[in-house]
Amino acid sequence: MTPIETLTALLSSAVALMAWSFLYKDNPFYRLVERVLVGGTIGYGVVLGMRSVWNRGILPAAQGDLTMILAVVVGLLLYLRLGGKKVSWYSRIPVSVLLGVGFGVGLTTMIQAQITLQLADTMKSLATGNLLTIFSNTFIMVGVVCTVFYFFYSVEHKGPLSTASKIGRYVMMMGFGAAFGFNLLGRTSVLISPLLPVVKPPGIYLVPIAVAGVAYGLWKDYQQGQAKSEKQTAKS
Amino acid sequence: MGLIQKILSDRRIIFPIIFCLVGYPLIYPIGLPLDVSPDTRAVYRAIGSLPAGSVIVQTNDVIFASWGELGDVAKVLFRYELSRNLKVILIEFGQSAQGTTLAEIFLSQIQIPADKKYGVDYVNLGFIPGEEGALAAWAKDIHQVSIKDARGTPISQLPIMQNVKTIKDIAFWMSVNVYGGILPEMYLRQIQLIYKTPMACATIGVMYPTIKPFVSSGQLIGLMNSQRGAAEFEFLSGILGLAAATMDSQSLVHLFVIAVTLIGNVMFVASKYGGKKQ
Amino acid sequence: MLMATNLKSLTLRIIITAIALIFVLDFFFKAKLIQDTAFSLQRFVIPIGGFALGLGGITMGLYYARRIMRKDKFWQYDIAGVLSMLFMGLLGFLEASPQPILQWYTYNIVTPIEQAIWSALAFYLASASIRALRAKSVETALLLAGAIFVMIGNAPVGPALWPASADIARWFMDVPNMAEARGINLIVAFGTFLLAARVFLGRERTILG
Repeated sequence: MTPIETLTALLSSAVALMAWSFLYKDNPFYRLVERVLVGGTIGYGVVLGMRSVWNRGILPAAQGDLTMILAVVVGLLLYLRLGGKKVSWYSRIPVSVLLGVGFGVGLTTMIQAQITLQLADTMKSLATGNLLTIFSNTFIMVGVVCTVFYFFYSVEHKGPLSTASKIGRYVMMMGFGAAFGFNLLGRTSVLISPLLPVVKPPGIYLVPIAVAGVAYGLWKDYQQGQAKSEKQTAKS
Repeated sequence: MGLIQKILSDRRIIFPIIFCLVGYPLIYPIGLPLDVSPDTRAVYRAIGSLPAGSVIVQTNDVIFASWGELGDVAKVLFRYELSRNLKVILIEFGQSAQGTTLAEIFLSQIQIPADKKYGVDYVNLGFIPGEEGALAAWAKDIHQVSIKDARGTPISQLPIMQNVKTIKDIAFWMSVNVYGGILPEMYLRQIQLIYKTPMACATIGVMYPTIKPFVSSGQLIGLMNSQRGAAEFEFLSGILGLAAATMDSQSLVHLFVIAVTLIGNVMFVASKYGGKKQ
Repeated sequence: MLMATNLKSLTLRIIITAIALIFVLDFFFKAKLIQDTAFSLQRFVIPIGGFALGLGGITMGLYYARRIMRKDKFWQYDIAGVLSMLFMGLLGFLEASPQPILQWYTYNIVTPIEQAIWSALAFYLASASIRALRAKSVETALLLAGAIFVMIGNAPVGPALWPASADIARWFMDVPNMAEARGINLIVAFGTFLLAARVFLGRERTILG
């Protein structure tokens, strides 16, 4: 390993361990890396955003592209948000443009992509296939309808409607349990990546330091707990 | 509460156990088996069936935090696409612009075959802000919207982009994204529905259920689930990477959580039944 | 003042509705003028999106600066935040492609921190599972069943220990889980239409003011 690679591995391990120190409790190390992260991410976003504006907005505008000239001017209105109450309203104009484009482009295709095609797949034939297929198709149809109905608040959920709402709730509970499982898969995957430099040299040499730090914290907590209970005993 | 339950509820015990369960197989791999899901197999077959020279877009809509889940997916897909002699366009329409740098980083990390050249066989077009509006415009006129790639080169000068003018010149859309409920649906609306471009998706674990209905309806050809999907793809393609090696850690953690959950329920039922008996 | 507010709200509504209408017309009528206008509007949002990212940076910078000047709680750490922001910003603007220092800082400092913070939930999920996933009622029993089946299906070793678990887990992901996800997706799609209707009719205060 070159000196740069060794230093890199040590730094990566150190910042990961400092971030994980939050699992014990909030502490100065965690606060430091959290600020470094937030600042770094924001700075990065600004750079990429501005670079995109330059390459795809300002340069074409400089070459006479009328659309981009207007777009850059309207985009700059966003920064009036930082001005006083009198001018901050103008920052809603570019937001309105974004919304108008978003609604216009999205809504026209959403009906087919997210509603009709999904409903068509829900209403599958209940007369074809083996017993399991028929049961599954019925489950999907009933489950989807009842889940949608659970969120329908225009009528009171009484009688048969309350049964439908209940079935919807049961289906959603299964989904939330599944979400727990999928979340575990995802977060464990994310855990592995920063742990990799920590489990081998030179990062692994920082682990005893981290463990000693946590042990010291636990011992201090224990001492404080003991002192508190002695105080309470003395009071009573 | 029973002693076992008390121990297993104590974070000071659980957290180090999790660290050990994840870390141990990284040092001493166990080599547990892995079965491949039909959804990942469908992605593999769809990309594998594309003729050589076809252009495939692989979106890198990721954030730094999700790179642990989707980094291996992006790498194995990219390497497989190159091995099939496809032309790969990396691009990002996400909200954070972090995928662009991560794409450049993984291009520098993986071993790209010597006969594959940047600008000829693959390109990183970088981040395009504006989400759905920008995507719709890009699909109509790629050169007028993209203008330059992530490295600042005008795309008109890149050989890979000479015959790629609109979305109709793209044979497949592979979305690697962290924005489960937003971006895949955006691509389905603007790319798959309007232009009938075949599309598949790879997403993080927690967003997998949200996108699954689109596989069932046939709008998506396949769906890869987080790092597990990457491991399955590595197994199918023979391009071994980190994902397959980390599945042992996944297995141990999942088994531990299942065991802890079942113990908790057994104790709960026992205490309920024991209380009733009394 | 009320009239001025109404006029401003009306202006925004007109902008949003007019732009959306152009796209609706573009969807149904393939007239060249409408298509070109729609294309221009689609390109229009690209610089606006980029400026929005810049606004985020300025807002955050001002927030940190205010905290440092007022010496709020833990203000010393905000200096690190500002330095990190400036470092990334300067590197991004000044360093020539392929920007090796920026890539190094991103991959070896920022990314491990963000991943470590994100992965913390794995620990809390594990520690919560003994208390949260309990079959106290029908709903919680279904929640437990969902979690168990998905975890068995996701764990590569699951099918090795119990061969039928792969098929059961797959059925669970393809049927109940998908039914719930589809139902919620449909609700979200309907909700988006409702939101658009509220905006067009001027009833959405958060956007129109």
